[in-house]
Amino acid sequence: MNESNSRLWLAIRFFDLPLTALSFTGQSFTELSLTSRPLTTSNLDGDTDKPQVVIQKKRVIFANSLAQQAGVQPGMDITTAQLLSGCEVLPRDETKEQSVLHALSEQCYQFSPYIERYSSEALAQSGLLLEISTCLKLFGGIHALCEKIITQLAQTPYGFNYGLAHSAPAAWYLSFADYAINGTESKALFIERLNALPIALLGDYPKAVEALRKTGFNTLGDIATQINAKSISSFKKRLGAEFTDLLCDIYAIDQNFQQAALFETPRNNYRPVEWFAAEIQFEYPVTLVAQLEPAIESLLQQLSTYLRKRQQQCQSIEWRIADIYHHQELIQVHSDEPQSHWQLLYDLSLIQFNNKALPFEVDTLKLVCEQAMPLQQRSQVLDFEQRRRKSTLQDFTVTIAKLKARLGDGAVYKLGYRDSRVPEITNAILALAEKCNQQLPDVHLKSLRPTWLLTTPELIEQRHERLYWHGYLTPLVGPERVIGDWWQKPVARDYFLAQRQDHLPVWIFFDLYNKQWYVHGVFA
Amino acid sequence: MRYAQLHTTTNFTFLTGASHPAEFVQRADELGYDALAITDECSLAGVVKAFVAAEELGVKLIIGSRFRLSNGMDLIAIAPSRIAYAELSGFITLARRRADKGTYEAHFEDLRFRLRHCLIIWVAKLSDTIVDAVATELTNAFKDRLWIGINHRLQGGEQQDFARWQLLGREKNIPLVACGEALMHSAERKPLQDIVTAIRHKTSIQEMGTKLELNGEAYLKSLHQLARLYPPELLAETAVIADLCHFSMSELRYQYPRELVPGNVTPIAHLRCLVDAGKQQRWPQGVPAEVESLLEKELALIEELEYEYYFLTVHDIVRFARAQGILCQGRGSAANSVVCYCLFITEIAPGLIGVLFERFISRERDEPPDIDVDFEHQRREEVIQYIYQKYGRERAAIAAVVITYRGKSAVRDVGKALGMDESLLDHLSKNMAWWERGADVPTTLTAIGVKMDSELLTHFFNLLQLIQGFPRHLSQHTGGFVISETRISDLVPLENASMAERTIIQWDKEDLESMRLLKVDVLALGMLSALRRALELINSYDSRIRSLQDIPREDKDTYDMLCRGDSVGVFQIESRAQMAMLPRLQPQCFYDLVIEIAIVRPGPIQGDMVHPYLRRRAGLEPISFPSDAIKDVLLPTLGVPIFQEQVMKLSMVAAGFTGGEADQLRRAITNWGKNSKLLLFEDKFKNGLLANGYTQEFANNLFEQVKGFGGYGFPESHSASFAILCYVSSWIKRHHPAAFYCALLNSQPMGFYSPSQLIQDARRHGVQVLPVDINHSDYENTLVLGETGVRGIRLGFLFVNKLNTRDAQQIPIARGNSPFTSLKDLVRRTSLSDAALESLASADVLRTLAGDRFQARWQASALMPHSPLLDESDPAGDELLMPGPSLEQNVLDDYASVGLTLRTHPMAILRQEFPFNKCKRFADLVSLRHKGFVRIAGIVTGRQRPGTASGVLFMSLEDETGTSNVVIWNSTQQRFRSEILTGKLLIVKGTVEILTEGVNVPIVHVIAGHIQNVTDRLHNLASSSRDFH
Repeated sequence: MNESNSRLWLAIRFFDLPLTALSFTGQSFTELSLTSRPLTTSNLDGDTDKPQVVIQKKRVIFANSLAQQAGVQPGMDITTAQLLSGCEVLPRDETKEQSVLHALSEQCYQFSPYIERYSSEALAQSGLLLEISTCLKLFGGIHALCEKIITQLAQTPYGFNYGLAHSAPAAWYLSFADYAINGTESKALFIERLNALPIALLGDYPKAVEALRKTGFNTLGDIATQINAKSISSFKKRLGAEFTDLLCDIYAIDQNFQQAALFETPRNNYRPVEWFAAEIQFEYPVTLVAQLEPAIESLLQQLSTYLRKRQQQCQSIEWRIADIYHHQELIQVHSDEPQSHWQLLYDLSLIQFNNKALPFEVDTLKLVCEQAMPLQQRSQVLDFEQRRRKSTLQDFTVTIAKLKARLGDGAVYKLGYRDSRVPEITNAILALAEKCNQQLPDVHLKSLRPTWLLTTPELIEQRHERLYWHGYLTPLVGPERVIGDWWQKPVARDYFLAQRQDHLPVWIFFDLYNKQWYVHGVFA
Repeated sequence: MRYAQLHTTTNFTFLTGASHPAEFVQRADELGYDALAITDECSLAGVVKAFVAAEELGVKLIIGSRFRLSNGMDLIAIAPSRIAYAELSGFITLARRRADKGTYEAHFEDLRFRLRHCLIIWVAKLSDTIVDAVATELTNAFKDRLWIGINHRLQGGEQQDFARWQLLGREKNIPLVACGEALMHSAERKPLQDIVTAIRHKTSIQEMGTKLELNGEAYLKSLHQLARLYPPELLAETAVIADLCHFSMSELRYQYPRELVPGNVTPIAHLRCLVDAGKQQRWPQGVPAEVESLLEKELALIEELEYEYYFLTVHDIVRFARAQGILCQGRGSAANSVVCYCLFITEIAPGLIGVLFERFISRERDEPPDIDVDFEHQRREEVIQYIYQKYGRERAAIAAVVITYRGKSAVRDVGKALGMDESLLDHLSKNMAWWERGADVPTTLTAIGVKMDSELLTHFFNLLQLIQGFPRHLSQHTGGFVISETRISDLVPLENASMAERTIIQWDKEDLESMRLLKVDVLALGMLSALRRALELINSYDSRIRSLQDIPREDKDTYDMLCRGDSVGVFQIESRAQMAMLPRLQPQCFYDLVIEIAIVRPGPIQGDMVHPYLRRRAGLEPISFPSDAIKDVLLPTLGVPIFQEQVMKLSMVAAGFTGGEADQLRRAITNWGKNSKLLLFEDKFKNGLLANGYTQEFANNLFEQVKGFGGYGFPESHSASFAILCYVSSWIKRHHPAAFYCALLNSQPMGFYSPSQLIQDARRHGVQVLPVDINHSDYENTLVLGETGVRGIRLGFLFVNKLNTRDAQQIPIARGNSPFTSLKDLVRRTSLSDAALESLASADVLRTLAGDRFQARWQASALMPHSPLLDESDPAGDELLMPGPSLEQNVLDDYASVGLTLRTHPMAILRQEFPFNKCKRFADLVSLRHKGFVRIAGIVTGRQRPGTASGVLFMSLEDETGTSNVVIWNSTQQRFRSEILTGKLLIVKGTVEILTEGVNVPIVHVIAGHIQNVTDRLHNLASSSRDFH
């Protein structure tokens, strides 16, 4: 570039992001080694030999090459796409796409502090825009810098195209053309290249594009010619200020003739993600967990200070222990409630450490907390009478957290009601965080239901033509006939309230399919 | 033990009951019930179907209805007498009319005064908190007409609850009665009942939980089962109620509107008077003796069966339409009546076809006649409003159509209720609708890669079978009016239709027939609108042609045109199949048109099957008749029975059937396949023939022929009514083509062809078509006189896309006699919006004011609203620098903005390029070798896959010289499904088949072997294809 004070933008457009982002599982920004992650589409379900499409609002927004070969095009409805290719249909996940872009921004931060994300809704394409004019000297010029960036990104599983230009939108649109970067590009060359692009690329402004098309404009060059010969104002009154601003951005047309620098759009400084990491190196090899305790406490206190200063809290931390031979082991600690104080995290960490012996002689202990969240501004409930209950709740939370840390997440659960006609299905095992259904339908207000419902009904013997289950049973009230679930595991039973000879009321049923009697519950 | 089922919810309580009314009746009969009450929720929609079944089986039917009141109570009202029935029907009408379509609103307060004769069953609900005051109030209101209904369904807590109700009954002296609800006739319907419930809740069965029925106990139980469930006194009480009910649906007597007859004249005298006046007009030279005798016969039967008022009502409606200049014509069986002809209801003179009055009215059938009258589709609303105005909304209502589950809707709803993936269902329903119709569905699914749990798939397909024909909701009939002397709601409940200010009755056409209620069909026909417009246009320059009667009959030029298969736009014979048949049949007279319309039915014409009639007509097959009697009947159709009337006549003259029996035979033939009633006539038919001296072999053959006839038999009277419009439209096309196409284009949408196709055909017939122009066009298309004195068509603003009618209509008004001089002048003199101006510019309508469409659009998009102060203030130097549009761009934009082009056909442009330059044009095909190789290209204008054509797909490909017919066999469809599905522009390689034998114009079609989709060459050409009609 000849003009030393002008900007230079590199646009990276990840053309297959809607599909590739679906397999993104990475959470960690501290160890951003994208190549090591299983991110290729082949890992979506272990089968790349089939056509796949990503859809949004029942329309195809991305089709892989096999689907495209079968005739599938973006914009098609799902049914046609399936008829054409028998493709697998995957719904778009924009959150994941943003996560990938986030991770990729982290990668690119080493090359430029000015990084912006760009998404085109009409084309379902996203990417990054890097302003690199201030970094050229450091990396040895345009060619060298761009090559470094491209080489770095080529190691990721995301397919991309790039474009270089004097403005951000120009770079983005040039990413749709295939120009190699040789370092001698000039603004005039960029404009020449832009002029050849079709106006369809401005698809995020569909009305303007349609209006232009109907007036005979086919390329950006046609627009440039009209602007040069006449004025930008003729576009403004026809197509509106927003679209005209875009044209000005693309061609770097200065609409403010006096003190233009004052109106220059500022560059966004990229702010990388902050996380906490601290470590302690021991002067001697540590072999017992007890010897780690002071270090754990100290690191957690540091974390606590870090969080408090930023008005943040966290739910997960990660311990990394290493020996002098670079052996590493990770221990993750999770709390159901976000914490900013160290005490509970300390207790939970000790439980985790005590669960297993140290695998090697520990030389370094490192604490990492990647995902902190802002401290919620919680309003205080005027709950004078229930203070004790609140403290009980706190105790309950701590106990649950400790139980989960000691037994594992899967071992701690709660019971909830699931609406069904089949009694044993009505008891649902739910994770603690899940909401449980507290509403019992009206039918249960009248129908008999036992206090203790057996998970698996127990077979009743027949002795001397009487029902026997730890004693003789006498049916008292019934039957209540339950028939349902014919579509999966059909159930047909006649339920009775029965009394055992020791006066224990039990809930029994006669299975209408296998003609057997069962006990299904016991009343209090 | 005596028992009456008093609580039955059929599938006419939509998406609740899981059995048809007739299934309940049949089961009740099998179980030996004393009586069966149909008690659908606030509805009598299913009672007629139950009544028909009950009459057949001799089951006592009780009419009732269940109401869920706004206070939460459930009541059943039963009609023991005619007066109670009217109350009940009126109450349902009240509750339905005050709520939105498909819902109702019934209040406890309404009951006391509205139901003074009905029997009331208070349905005991498990969750009811029994309010003493309510019980007292009910007792006071209904006294000894009140019962407490016990619905024992084996639910938890029922025994304790029963004790409470028993106590209440004793305290308040209200008897208890067994009142178990039946939602199904048999317990096996439980899955379907769950499915319809899930559909009603718009969710899947997996999500339904306790909203599904607890068990499958809501079915009709055996007396033995009932005896185990209810105490004997409760069962006995059902019989008490049944004994109180004396009302039968057969008591419903229909009263015709009487105001049409002057005070001191009998109805028949008035009718005779009108007929006499009419026959003088029809035969000014004197009425032929045979017509007089036919009239006498008809009038005597009309008087005997008391149908005078019906004829007078239809006559009154037709008279109104004619007075307003609305074209109308009766069709169908009414064309068999000379009375209808004399009343100007129909146009079929007795000599035109073999009139068979028994087809219209028969003593044995004892069913009301059916007169369908077609009116201009754009003016039918005027006729409907006249009926409402004359008879009032209380006395006139439109019949319902029961919308039932069929293919697509069944797949979608059952699939959703089973929790299947929506996109898969979308896929399935679209496929099953036409593509894989009739195929082995599970195999097809596997073939297209659908993997499903096989058990769920089994349920899915079983339920699909069961739900076929299940009613889903009531809709409005296309035009069937019921008009009565008194309130209709005394006969049948009314409810709101989805269209504002429309009410429908709860019975459909079949119900009305079963109940012998008269229905007048006020139908809409696009061709009548087109003909009225055409007559007006012709009359504007030829004063001799004012009405349909002025059109010369049996015009040779018209038949010559049809013999060439030149029938685009002509009524009834413009389809691909009809056009292919015309050169074979070579119509030479009106009766040939009657045959042409009837013969091209799905059955006989598809594939390589050629109708025996054609073979005989071409002299390829001998014509023989076993007797003179049969010859009289079959001579007009060369010995081949084509019309339903011929079968009736055959049975009468050869097998000794009476007129009524013959009509019953006709009905059995029409319904052949749905039931086996036809076989009931077999013995009588054959024995009749034997008795008349025919051989056994002949009798067998004739019966087989009659049976086979079921698939394609068409009523001659119907065909003749259509043939009149067919002939008239053909004549106008032949002699006044500009007026013909102009009228057709102004009456769109109608017919088979798009405006673009009609205009291409018009130009092939030498009609000059001029584009829409801001200074020359009107809202509609108009006739213009060309320089050579030949009339042409100037297209109107109605074709401009996105231009609303108000804007389009104001332009010619604002223009008056002084053309617009500039865009600014246009804006100053009209109030056109920016969007309207842009639409006009895009459609190239402004070219005389602003140059080509690019320039016009550029200028229009910057025009400011007119202001006198700023009149001259537009900045100069804002012109567009872009070059004008190319021919190709103009063609594409023409399609996008007007839907057609008057420039070169897109194919003519593409023809310059490879591979289109290697393709034959439609016009070239006829000169090729039969069965030779051919490659053609064209725009897809139609895809058709007739259900009876064993999977063959017909495709129409249009190029600059005409439209080629492409036949695609099943195997080719499988290989090129994506091309067929998505292609707008196709190249087809195959073999050409040319039929020259027995035709004066060769019939050409291409059998596709290879199909290539080249749509991308068209860019975004907006062509519309008429698919799978």
